[in-house]
Amino acid sequence: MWKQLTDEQLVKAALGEDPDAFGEIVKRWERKIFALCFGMLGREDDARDAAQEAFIAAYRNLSNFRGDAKVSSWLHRIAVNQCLTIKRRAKTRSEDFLDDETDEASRVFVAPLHQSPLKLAEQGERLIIIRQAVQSLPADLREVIAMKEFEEMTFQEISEVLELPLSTVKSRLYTALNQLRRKLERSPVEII
Amino acid sequence: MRAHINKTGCDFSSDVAGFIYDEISPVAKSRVQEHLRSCDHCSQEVTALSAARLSIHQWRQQTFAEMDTPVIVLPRRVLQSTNTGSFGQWISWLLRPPVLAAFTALVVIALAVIVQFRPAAVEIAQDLEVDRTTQSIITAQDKVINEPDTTREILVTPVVPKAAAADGPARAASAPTPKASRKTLLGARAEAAKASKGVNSIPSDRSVATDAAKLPQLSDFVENEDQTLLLSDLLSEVEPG
Repeated sequence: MWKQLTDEQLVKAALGEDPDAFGEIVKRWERKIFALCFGMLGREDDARDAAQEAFIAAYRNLSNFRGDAKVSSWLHRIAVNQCLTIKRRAKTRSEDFLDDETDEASRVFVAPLHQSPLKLAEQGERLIIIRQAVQSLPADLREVIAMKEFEEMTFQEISEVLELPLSTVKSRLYTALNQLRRKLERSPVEII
Repeated sequence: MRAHINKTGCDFSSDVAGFIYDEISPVAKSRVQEHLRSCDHCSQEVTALSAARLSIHQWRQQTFAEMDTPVIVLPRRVLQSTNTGSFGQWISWLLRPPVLAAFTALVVIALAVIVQFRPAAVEIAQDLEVDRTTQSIITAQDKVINEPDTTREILVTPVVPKAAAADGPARAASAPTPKASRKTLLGARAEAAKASKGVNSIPSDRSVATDAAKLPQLSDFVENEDQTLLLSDLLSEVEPG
């Protein structure tokens, strides 16, 4: 029933007190929003929490949704704000964050069985460095990297969601990659 | 687009991001490729940027790609609070035609009630105001009368004036009755009170004394001991209520 409707039509239906319509929006966007949150936060648990909170916040503020913006833009903005909030919270417990770095690496990295322990350790360490390098980017650059690499959006889609000119999106991606490259070049572990 | 000119002064950066992500027009792509073939510095730079991009891609493939999509659950309390407590929904409910019609009808009824009962209410308010003014005048008079001065001790004898008495019993018969004399005395007393500072103000002893001088004197009346009354007794008789 809902599959043929656009996001905007679904929002209208949800505003007519039909929560199932919002459920369809969640189905359509949960993977992408989760990907965005993971790219922004770099930790699975935080990304899950951020995605969950983002959808709850979206539902709570459904009546404030302006029809002049796309639902995708609106959802992404909410999710990015949620990620920034969680990131700020994480800063306050930064000591704990550093303590569980090793656990984090071993948990998220699913290594092939045929590789040697040394190789596995190197790969795990490399992933941590990449993640830390991405996480150290400014929020606006991290945002476009997450959308491009994790959501696999095109430049045009990113431009529409962020309501930015296409040239700005390209410029931000170039800057993000350039900063990332410098951070990775400084790391002691060979990246590629 | 903002130009990213590299160390060699080459300005091809406007197409670099598109080239790395392969989102570039064929014409621009061939232009970049042509430049990279001739410029080692730019070639190295593009290689480094591509390596950085590949790192992120690998991170994604080895972490995120393995993760399940989280099951998003909207708590029941959120659904309930949103369905019933949203301010926007209250507003939309208020703007529904039946609610608007009922509200308009209530306003009209309220206006009709106000128009109907307002004259009576104004009348009552005016009466109350008059009562208050009267009460204040009487209070002022009482104040004047109860002042401990010489006028308090005067024995008022509402009797026939001397001139009338001199004319004999016939004139005496036509002289003012005790009741009429009381009225005369009270009228003069009220005028004296009005002539003082104000209706609501309490006159000083001196002004009371001056006012008392203006009053009819005892010598203007013929004594009639049977009708002798205290001034306070007279006032208590004529005071309303």
